[in-house]
Amino acid sequence: MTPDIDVRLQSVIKAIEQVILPALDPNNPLAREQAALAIGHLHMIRGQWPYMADYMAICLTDIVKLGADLLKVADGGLATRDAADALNLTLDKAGKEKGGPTTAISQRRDAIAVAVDDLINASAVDGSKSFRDVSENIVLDYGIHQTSRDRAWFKASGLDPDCAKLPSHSDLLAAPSHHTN
Amino acid sequence: MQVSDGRTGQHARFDDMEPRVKQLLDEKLIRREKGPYRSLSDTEVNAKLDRLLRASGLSDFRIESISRLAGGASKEQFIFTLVTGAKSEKLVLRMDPLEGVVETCRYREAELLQAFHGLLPLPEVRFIDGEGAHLGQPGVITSFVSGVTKPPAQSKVVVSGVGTSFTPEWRAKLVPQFIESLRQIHAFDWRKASLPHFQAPTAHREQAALWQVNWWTRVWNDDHIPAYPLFTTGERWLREHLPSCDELVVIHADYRTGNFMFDPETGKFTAILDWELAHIGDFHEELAWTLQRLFAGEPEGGKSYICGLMTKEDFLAQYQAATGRKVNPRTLAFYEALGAYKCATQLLGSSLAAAVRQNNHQDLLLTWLVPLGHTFLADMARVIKAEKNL
Repeated sequence: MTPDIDVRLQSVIKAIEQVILPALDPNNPLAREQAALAIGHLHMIRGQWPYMADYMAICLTDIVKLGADLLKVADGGLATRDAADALNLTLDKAGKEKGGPTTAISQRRDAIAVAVDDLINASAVDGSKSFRDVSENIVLDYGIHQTSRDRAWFKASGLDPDCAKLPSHSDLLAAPSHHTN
Repeated sequence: MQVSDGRTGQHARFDDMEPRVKQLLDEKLIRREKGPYRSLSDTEVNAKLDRLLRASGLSDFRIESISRLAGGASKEQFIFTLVTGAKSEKLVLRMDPLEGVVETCRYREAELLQAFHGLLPLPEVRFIDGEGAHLGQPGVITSFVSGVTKPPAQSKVVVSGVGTSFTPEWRAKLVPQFIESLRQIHAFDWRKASLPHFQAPTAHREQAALWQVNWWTRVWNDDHIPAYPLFTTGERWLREHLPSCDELVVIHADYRTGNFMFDPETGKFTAILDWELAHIGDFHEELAWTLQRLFAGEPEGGKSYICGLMTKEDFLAQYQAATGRKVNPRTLAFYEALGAYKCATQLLGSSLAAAVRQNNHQDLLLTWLVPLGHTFLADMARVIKAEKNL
């Protein structure tokens, strides 16, 4: 894979910074802003792509655990039970699918997220009070962990108010996932 | 606080939202299929303006110096000069993209600018094409107002109002105006005003909150691409915690640094901007939005300043002193969670959807901003957890 992705991104950034941006009309603020944003995106992608597969894998692992945790406590009427059965099937299917491109990992994650959503929505219809309470805590804890990870993943934008406290990509992936805490 | 019974109770009516808002969201689903959208050239903007101005009754005029404004992923914005005889005026055109951060109504924006004319510093509405019959997209033309949204020396701010800080001298000039303008907005007698594109949530005391929950959960459900269980749990929590509202006021709904302009010499407010999300609702909603962490400036001495202007405690104290209203902490928490849900929806839902379909003039900016949705989702989760201890 020569030249590798990193070198190609580096070359594109240099071309925009040193050739294209200076050639833009100084009276066209949108063009200049777009060029600057393009450079920002490329810098961010350059930092992310080496960790992409690991990042997606850990996100998948955590949402599988979220689904399993919810199934352990799911309780309620027909709508809740049906949604729990569907989530169970989705988790089974995801467990049998291994590897593949990052898009396949992403699709497995998304399918589980939809099934979890369906269970939460069903619980609002006929879930028991205890399940609604417990599931709220389970999802909030999962969500806080996952949003921390997602914020760290995009920290290079510099927009997050806690930017300085967010971990690097390597530290992020070295940290234990949600369910092993 | 009254608590409703989740989706099974009275407040589970997902379609109970302000009728004009529902109409806008329905129309968006149709319009977004027309994409992808391509940025307009100056020539195209000129032609569109020409059509609108002639349809508005002008015949002898020239359009000069069209230039696009940077930023503004919500609306496509241009400055131009309209010359009629010996008179010339600098004007601002705001047009809807096919899809953007938010879906809003140019009639409503214009009606409020006209209603508050003389009460607050505002741009004046010159022309409107609420249906896009002449511009091709809904749009409004207003007067140009001079001023700045951040201190003159601060140039690194990328998104207007995000991360803006003020020195104590600037705060002393701006804070009193910030509070007084808010007081005036909430004191406005909307019942006596001409606001034909607005409806008020008067059916029951929880309807103000319910309309907002239904508005933004509808947007999430229409726009989201990957599912996020935190959104669904947040929605369930919001529906189970709808607060009552005893007093309905006009809510600007994006009242923060970045949306007021001031004279860079004197600090005097020159305009309150961006009324597109305004509606009639609970004043707590406004306060909670303004309190959002992302709109705060850089912390100083361990203190966080909301909108870069004052601490949360000062803001709430000054608002209560100015208005005589009393802030209910649980209602405020509800609207803080809703505000975070809204922002997360606008970013991880609408902005992402617009960029995926390439339906905005600022796809690149939208994809840059989308990850901020994770920050708002985290804030929503934090507020929901903390609310249990109130």
